[in-house]
Amino acid sequence: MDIRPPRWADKFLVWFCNPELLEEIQGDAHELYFERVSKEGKKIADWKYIWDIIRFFRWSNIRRSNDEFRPGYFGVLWNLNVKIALRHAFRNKLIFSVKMLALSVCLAFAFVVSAFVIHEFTYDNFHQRHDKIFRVGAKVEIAGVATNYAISPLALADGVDEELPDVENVCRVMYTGKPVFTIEDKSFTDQTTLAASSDLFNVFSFEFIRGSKDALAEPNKIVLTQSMAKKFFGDAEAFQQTIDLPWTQLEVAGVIKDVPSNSHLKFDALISWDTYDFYDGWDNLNAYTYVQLGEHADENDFYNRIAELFRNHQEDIEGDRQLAASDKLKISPIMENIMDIHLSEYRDEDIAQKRSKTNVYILIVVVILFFATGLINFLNLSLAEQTTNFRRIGILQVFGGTSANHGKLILTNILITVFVIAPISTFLINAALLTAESYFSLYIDKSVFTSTPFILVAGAVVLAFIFSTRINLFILSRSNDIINALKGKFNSRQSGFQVRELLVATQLSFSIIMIAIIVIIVDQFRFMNSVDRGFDDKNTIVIKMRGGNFSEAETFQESLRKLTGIKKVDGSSFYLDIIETKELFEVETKEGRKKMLVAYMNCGYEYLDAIGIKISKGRNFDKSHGSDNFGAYIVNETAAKYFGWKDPIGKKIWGPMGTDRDEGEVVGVIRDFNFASLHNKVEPLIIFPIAEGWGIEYVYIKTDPIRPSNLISQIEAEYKKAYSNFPMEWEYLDSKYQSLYKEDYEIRDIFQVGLVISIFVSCLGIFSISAFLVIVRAKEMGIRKVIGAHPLHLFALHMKRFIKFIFISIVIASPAIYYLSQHWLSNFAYHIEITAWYFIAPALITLVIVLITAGYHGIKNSRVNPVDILKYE
Amino acid sequence: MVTKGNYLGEFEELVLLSVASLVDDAYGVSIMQYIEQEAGRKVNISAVHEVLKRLQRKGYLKSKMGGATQERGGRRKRFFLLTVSGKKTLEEAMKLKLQLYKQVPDFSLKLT
Repeated sequence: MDIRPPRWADKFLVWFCNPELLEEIQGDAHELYFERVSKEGKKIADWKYIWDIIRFFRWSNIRRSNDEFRPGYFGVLWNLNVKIALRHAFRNKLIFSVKMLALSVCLAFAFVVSAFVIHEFTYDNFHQRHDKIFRVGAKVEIAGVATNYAISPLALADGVDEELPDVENVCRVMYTGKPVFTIEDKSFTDQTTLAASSDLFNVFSFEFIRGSKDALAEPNKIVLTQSMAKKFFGDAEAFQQTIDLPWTQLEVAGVIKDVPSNSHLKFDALISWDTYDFYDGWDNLNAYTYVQLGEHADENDFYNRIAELFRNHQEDIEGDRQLAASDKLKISPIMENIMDIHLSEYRDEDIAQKRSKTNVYILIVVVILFFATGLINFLNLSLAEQTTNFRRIGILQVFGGTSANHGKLILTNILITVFVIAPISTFLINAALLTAESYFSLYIDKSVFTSTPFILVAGAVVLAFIFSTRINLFILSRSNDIINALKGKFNSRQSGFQVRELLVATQLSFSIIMIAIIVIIVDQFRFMNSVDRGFDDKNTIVIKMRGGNFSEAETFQESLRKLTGIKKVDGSSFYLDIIETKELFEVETKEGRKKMLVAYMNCGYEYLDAIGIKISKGRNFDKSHGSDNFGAYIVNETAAKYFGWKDPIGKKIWGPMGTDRDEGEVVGVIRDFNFASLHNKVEPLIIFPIAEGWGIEYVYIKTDPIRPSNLISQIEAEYKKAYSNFPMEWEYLDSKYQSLYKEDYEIRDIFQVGLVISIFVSCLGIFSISAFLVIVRAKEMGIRKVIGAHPLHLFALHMKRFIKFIFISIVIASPAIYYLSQHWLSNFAYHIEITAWYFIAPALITLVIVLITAGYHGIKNSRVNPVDILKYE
Repeated sequence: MVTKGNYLGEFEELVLLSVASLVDDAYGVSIMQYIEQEAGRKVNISAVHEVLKRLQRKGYLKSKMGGATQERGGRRKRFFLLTVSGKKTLEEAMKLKLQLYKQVPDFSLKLT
């Protein structure tokens, strides 16, 4: 048997031990070991050996660096190195400050964007059991058309609770709109309020300041967020105060900390579920249901059992929607982990804040580009600087400096860089966060900066930075360059050059990518603004009606029509961005009556005119046709196509089912109009007139372009007369429309800032490289001029190199531009096509920038006086 | 190097004496075993090494590497020898002790 001491202990000894002492120490230890093996057995010998090794692990035996007394050593000549670096910085003030500024700007920007990206990826991870919390939505299939809903039947929560044992907690939440809260005599209307069952606080980990987890167990309780409590009650204690709703009185049963910015569920107040009298059936598809599974529960298994639960309640789900056997309604669950909700695909009726994954990925590319640009620029400049310092390095090497010594010099430079950059970037990051918050309404919680992913990213960047500076060392320590330097030769074909060319080209191609993408984004927005949306959102004011009582609203509208400056007023149920409602209609088709789930809107007689929706066939609703009120429908072109109608006028429609409307016929077809954003395709739509029982939810007011400046306050006065209890809520339709693109505008803003920085940094890079080139090639230029070269020729010679950079960078950038823009544009149902121009234009822009920045030195170069240069020797 | 004067510590003295008596065969393990056998004291090998290093720094010991060996994987031993100054220091220390010992009146009587 092969008897030997524990291998790892032996390795450990070899690793730490001073090589000069190793042989005797290891020898003694081994001798003892083998003696013990024969006397006391292997096991005891092993342990004693380990103990010996541990005892040997002491300061006097530990291996340490042996260049303690060589020049340039950290401790000894530290101050000298710092001095050299500082002196160097002061001598090249311009390049030094350019270098530092560019690097800190790039880093700050990249850090802010990566904080944002991390923020997006860590949605809902603050809940303690986030990996076990799921939201159950519903996929509803009727007549082969599937719709993915974020919501599920109200009865699901109870069903899960009763029939599936390994679910730890289940809660349901329902969006209740923005109710009017009255406290003493003040009203508040702009609070996102949810009805929530008591278990919400067991599923989610929202932190309580006052009150406890069972705050919502009883009816007529409300839980406020901290900032809402402050808004409602000022500095007074909010806990156990009362708040009035129009129909009941609530008691504040708890105050929680504000909902973190990375929560998909955003709310200002929660009202206990039992306060409302919701219809609790399987056919009421309206609640957001969250389940928290047990520790060992399997989610696939759970999914199957929920699907089964849905199947068992098939009849209940269908409810009183009598369906023909052919178009069976099928419903299956959609289960999403709460952390995925933020970035997952679109679901109907979702209250979650969503962001498309593509946009986040594009931002990751931006981060990488920026780290790289900043780094490359820094490397480039310090490389250029050091190449001019070849002579100093040469002398250092002659005096016995090793490349390790030179490395220490560079390390000193890095440390100084870090000392300069850290405060600047911290300042810039804070400034950027403030700007983002106040101008772009992008709020990033500061805690992101202390989260593990961010620290990892930052650490990786710092490491990359330190290692990349080693590239310089590698290039510089080539001996023949140094010999040449000492001989006073400055060869413009030096080896450092090819590397530098590559670096500059990469940096330039980043700028081209940035420019191209921003051009595409801006163009897409221009396209979206110019595209025919099918309605006119200019000069339109929308008022949200409370209660929506039909006759009250009619009187209010009538009073508005009398005001000067108002062209048309009418009501509608439809609004941008509201969660759209689809209902079951029966439609006459070739195959007979068919049930279909179609979006609908109802509106007043003048509504279509008021916002400029054009009738393409047939007629508008008309008051003179007495039967219109309950017997007329208008459909959009997409709907006509969807139903397979060649001649839609006179076709029959029944529904929406379960309402007071029954049979009617189509009187007109409108041009498609896109009420949702252009991210989505136009969907089939059925329109019918508002009638008594339906209420008016939104009043649209079309004003004259030239209107009295106090029109809004006049309208407000009328509103006050009609509804004295509520403040008026209104918006301009066009600004609302713009807000649908909030996310895209955010991306555009980030890119615009990025573009400016990227161009700025690469300008700096090119400027200093061309300055360096002028120095390196000064003698050559002088001689050329003596021989008789034309200044223009010299200028061209100087510029030639930069033109080459541009060509290389176009080659690098083009595929990236193509890939990224395709990705981004695929977000839009209606988008521009990528043409060659999107590649040529950025290249031309970059060309101009390069010509200007490099041209300065080019002109200087061509006007050089040869005597000044050549008299040197 | 900083040393604690030219005094010998108790353990140092023991090691120095062992080296002196082992003559040509004084290396780490043998010294340790000698101490164990003669003084009945269990010491760790690393402690012996430490003291040997210290004594060498003070100039009381010199060392040389021996030839290749069989029992320790071919690794050489470092043999220690007393230097002149080591010998002198040892003698002085012994003399001092003996002198002090003799001055104790009726030392042997007191013990019994």
